[in-house]
Amino acid sequence: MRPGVWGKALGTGGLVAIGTLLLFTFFTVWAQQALSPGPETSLCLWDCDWYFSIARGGYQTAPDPATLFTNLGFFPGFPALLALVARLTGLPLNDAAALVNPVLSLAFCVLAVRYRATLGLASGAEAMLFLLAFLLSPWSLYNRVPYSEMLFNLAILGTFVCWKERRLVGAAAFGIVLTATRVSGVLLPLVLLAGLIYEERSRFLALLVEPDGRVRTLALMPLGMMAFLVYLYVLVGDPLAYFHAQSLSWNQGLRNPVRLFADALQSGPVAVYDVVPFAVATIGLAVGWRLRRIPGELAVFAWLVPALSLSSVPEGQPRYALGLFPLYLLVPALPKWLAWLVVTGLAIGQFVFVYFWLKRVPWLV
Amino acid sequence: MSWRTLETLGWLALYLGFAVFVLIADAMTPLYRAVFVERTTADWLPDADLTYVPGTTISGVVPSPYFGAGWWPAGAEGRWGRGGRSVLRLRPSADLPAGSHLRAQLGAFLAASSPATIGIAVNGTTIATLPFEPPGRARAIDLPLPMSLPAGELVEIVLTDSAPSSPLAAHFGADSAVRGVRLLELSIDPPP
Repeated sequence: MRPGVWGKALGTGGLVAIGTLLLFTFFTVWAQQALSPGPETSLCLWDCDWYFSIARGGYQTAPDPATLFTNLGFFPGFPALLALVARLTGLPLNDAAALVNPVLSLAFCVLAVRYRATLGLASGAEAMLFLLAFLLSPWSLYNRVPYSEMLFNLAILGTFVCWKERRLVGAAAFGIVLTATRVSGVLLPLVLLAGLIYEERSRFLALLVEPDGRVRTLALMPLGMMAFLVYLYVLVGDPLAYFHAQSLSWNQGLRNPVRLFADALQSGPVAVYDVVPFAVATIGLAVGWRLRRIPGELAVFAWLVPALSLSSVPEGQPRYALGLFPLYLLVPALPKWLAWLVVTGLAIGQFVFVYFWLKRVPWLV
Repeated sequence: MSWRTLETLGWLALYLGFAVFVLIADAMTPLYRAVFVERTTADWLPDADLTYVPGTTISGVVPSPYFGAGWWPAGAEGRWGRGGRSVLRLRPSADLPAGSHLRAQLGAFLAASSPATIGIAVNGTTIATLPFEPPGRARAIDLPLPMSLPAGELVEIVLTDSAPSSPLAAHFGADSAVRGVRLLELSIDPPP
């Protein structure tokens, strides 16, 4: 470890993390004032309640009898972290939650600045622009509220940069956290495996016969998800309880994505708004990969995560905060004036999202 | 064979073994299996049984043990069928002779211009086929039963919808939940 490099990363990353957090706090207070007097405004809505229920009391063995909703439909990574922080600090869960995502976003910023070259960023200024665009985007609302998105994004970044830098213990550790946080996390080891097979295509079988640390690292990553499935078996006798709960209670399942997309485009503004960001992201990821602004594995993974979600149901905005941060690597490639214009536009969009989040509009679920 | 080769074989064994475990491991309770896996029971009511006192109204607004396969959870607007086939099961606590009446408030989820037909069958015998025009508003039905229903024997009432759809498929919303029949309430009343 070179303290100088890390110190610089902490300085630059910390500046962006604190600055964007202050701006988000300002947006929140402003929106709360704009909405008052009115119903109580809280950042903890919808899935946040499920994470809190797991952090407080663990997993339920019985669903809500009226709705059949159950917290079995949520992965344990984020609520386990909430519970751990609450226990270590002695803070109430609400306060621990307010602490967790800012710290995770700080870690994200520091890692991104420290390993900016691995992300294809030429300078600290480019890294700052990337982070500003990512953390000020409207969908970074979900990185701020007590959702699992920020932990997921940090785990992706950590897994990727450690993998590329051949810090295999780190890659395995981040990978385990990733697959324990969201089901789609398991796609990253698969994408990295595909990359390894391509890279070593002339000697991949030989690599399997005499594996090096990379094979072991990839094999370790899914253990987070596997441990959760074993736990579900011990708890309710069903290792697939997560999938059954998601399917029964939230109507999730694999469907024809083309049909879903086409139907959504004809189903009114809310449905269009649910799927159009995916089309924009697809184009952006393809362009970014082509311009060598977005590393190939990250581009593929960033596309697969929302694509998998869109193959299930069209509704859902948090999917655009899940793993899509590589898209913002394109921003530093823009002319400087345009890059700042984009960042400003994204920040205005974030204020709009915060305002409507506090108004509890269902199209932000 | 080197230790490193054995390591690869070990990982393969772990993942194959885990896949088999996930596919065959089963220590579920009967209620869990019925609700979450087989979906033959719509509501999580651990101590409920299917005994039905004739004349009692089965509400679509609250959880009830009589709803079997093919239902969404109860809601303020009644209970929607999940897909095109929705089943109620009950065991009358007293004999219901032929000529008893199946009374219900039924509607259907319809796309803007698509009519649908709701079929009602009791123990495999179709007793009515009702056309519903958009918007599929709920209406009262009163159907005499051509058969008797002995006390204690399982009665299966199957409601079928010829054109289940979702707001998404019908192009007026983002909700992809496929809905068929809508039941507000149902009862089987002995003849007067």
